[in-house]
Amino acid sequence: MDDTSANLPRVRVAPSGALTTSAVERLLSELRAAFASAGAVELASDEVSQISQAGLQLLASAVRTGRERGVPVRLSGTAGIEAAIRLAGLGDLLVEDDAMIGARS
Amino acid sequence: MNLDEIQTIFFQECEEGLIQAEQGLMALQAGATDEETINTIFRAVHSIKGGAGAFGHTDLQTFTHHFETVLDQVRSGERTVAADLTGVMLAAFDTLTDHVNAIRGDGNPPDDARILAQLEAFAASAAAPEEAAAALPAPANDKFGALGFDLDAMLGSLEDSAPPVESWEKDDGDIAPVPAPLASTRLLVKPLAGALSNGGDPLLLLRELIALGATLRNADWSAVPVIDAFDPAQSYLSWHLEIPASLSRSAIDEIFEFVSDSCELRFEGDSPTPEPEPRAPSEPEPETELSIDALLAGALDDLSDTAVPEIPAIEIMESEPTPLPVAAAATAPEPEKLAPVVEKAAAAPPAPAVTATIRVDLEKLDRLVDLVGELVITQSMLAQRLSDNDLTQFDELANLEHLTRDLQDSAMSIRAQPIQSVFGRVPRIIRELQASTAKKVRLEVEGEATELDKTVVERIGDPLTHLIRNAVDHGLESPEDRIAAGKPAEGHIRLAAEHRSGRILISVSDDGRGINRERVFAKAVERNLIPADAKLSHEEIDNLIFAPGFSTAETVSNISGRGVGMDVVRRNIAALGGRITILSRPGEGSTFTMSLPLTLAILDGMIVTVGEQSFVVPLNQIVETIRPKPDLVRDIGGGQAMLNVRDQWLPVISIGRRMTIAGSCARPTDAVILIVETEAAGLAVLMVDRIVDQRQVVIKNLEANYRQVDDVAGATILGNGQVALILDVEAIAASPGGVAGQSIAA
Repeated sequence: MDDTSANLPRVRVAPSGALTTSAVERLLSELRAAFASAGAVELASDEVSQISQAGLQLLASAVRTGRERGVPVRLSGTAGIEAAIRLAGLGDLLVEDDAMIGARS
Repeated sequence: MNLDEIQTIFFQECEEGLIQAEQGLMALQAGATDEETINTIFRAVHSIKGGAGAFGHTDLQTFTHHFETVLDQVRSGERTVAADLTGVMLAAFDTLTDHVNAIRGDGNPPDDARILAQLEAFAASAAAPEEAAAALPAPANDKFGALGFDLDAMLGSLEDSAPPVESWEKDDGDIAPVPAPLASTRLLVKPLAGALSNGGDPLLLLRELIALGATLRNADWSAVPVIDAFDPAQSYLSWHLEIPASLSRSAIDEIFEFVSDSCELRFEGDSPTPEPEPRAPSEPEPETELSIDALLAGALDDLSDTAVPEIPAIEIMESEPTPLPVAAAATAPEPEKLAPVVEKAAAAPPAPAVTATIRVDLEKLDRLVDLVGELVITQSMLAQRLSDNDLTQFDELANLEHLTRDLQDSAMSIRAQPIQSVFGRVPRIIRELQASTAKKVRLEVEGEATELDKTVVERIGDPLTHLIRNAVDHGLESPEDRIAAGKPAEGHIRLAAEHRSGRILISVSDDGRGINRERVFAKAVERNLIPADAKLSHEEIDNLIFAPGFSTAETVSNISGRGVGMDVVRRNIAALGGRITILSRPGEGSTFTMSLPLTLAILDGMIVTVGEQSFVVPLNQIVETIRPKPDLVRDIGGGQAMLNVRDQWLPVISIGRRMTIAGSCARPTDAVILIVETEAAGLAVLMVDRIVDQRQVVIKNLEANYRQVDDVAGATILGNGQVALILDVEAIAASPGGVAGQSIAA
């Protein structure tokens, strides 16, 4: 975590229901605002029931944004979400590093 | 576009698919065995299956999967189309229709166990090498959610079959060095721009591939941008999969068939294939992944001839704002390994052209038609104003009028639909009736491409269904009776549509027993519809079947015989501005002909005045106009006059008197007489003051803008801005004041 973000708040974005393309569209502005003002972002997917390609891409984009900007991003969610990510071949989103705390099982 | 809108499109596509499938099946039944017919049915069923899967309609998807399996066997020549198979496929089609209706909320899901068993039996009986593949459980049997992975089910059902995730998890862009299975093929699946915007979710296709035995090797998310540049409708991911030899390319193509224009699918050579070495930055891009810059720099010259077919993919990429995926570039095979890919590209049908049709919300279309109607009125008003001021010498004015009329015609033609969508229901009705009546019926359909306004198409379905049911139930005799009468055992029903004089004629004919006029007359007397000593012509007796509550059926069945049918048929047709006529010959059969307007939005009308008021009389109902000589008119007292029209005395209906309009003509000899033809009363005589003009008018719904008014069918705005009421000639002639049916022979 870099110094500039140390004193900024951690913002939690918690989508729910099916993470479809239109749901991603709605979530996007919230996530953009979070990255604009937060020292860390938590994308909590506990209430997400289904995830589409657009949803997976949003998670990937959040992780990429966090890595590029040095903003820690935590993806949390159910074991089902984690499985969905892994089964779509995106397990490296869950790799812990400076920008990634990892998914909760 | 939200999910409901997308689903609405899916339902529309289902409707279209069902029509195509039914037409194909009817052709099969009639003996057609050509490849295109089979392919049409297969494509229709397959498309419905694809949509059903995308929306999570598992019952529908499962059913179509089984149906498709049998169709595929026919398509591939593994089995021939025999009568028993056609029968099963027709029954399967009916069940498929019920499934579609059920998910639309129209009825309960059908009990498809019996027909599924029959389909499975047919599928199993075909000794085909690919039977095992065809008999794979339908993907729908896996509990997938409507739009994505059902996570719990996924954990349970797929995790076991998936390779350990760690084996292919690597850093961005790297390909995991998983040894390729022997005799397998690598496949790149790359959804293109637009793959998500139309409601599709390529993940489902990916999952379907995995369910069929493919192994996911790598997902490339290197093209996913940061959140500020992220577009939810764009597709950024791509996947590399290992395809086992047991999975045929046709099976893979079928999975992606309905997204073929939004998903790049590239086979990357037969295995065992050495993993490509990651490219150094200085190395040239592989040929299939050429950048636009490279193309512009003339790199095309260096391409082998066989790489040319890949250009469409490059063109698609050109429109994408996203950079080329690093991993895809790094893992692309060497040019010489492209041979299988190129073969496929060369063998594949040409890329679909830009679609020639678009779907438009009906409300938007109606709004357009409405606006064009307003334009027509405004143009008329302008012309009238200029005419009033002697300013009619401008060519531009005539051009404007022509353009406006052309625009109006074009707008109306957009709403036109082939009547096929209504006629398409009839074969099933016939099949059901055959089963319930034990009668044999051969259906002949003609003119199904005839177009008329969508509203008319939508409303004509029920009357037509009634006529068909009556034709089979009442018209056709039993096979035994037909044979006894010297006819073939199989009855003949002919359904036809044609344009004639600006109207559409739809006829339902049968070669049955014809109307039993003695029985109809007796039943009408029994029901007090006519006096026992009434003298009626054959035509008048035939028309008694349209009387409310009339039925000659001995038993009430769910087919017909409740006596609520034919009067409703006539009322519905009249509500559309149409009329129905009967032509029946004892022992030879009957023909019911509906005459309908092509559109409900525009009316050819005669503008007449009564006192200071203007009215519009539908032109198609006017038989003739006359100024009667005094010797043709008789006053019968009470202000009622009779007019002799070719030796038939008809009551004169004074519109001025009926509408209580001050200053209207009182005597027929001072007025203009319109002889009109009506369904309810035959010829009727309307008296107006003056004929002003004859023109097309745009119909405005009076009920929507004001309230229902007796004797008035609607309103319009004339060129001078005046509102004119459109007379409901049928209602005027049929109501007591119209003294319908009281003509006296001279």
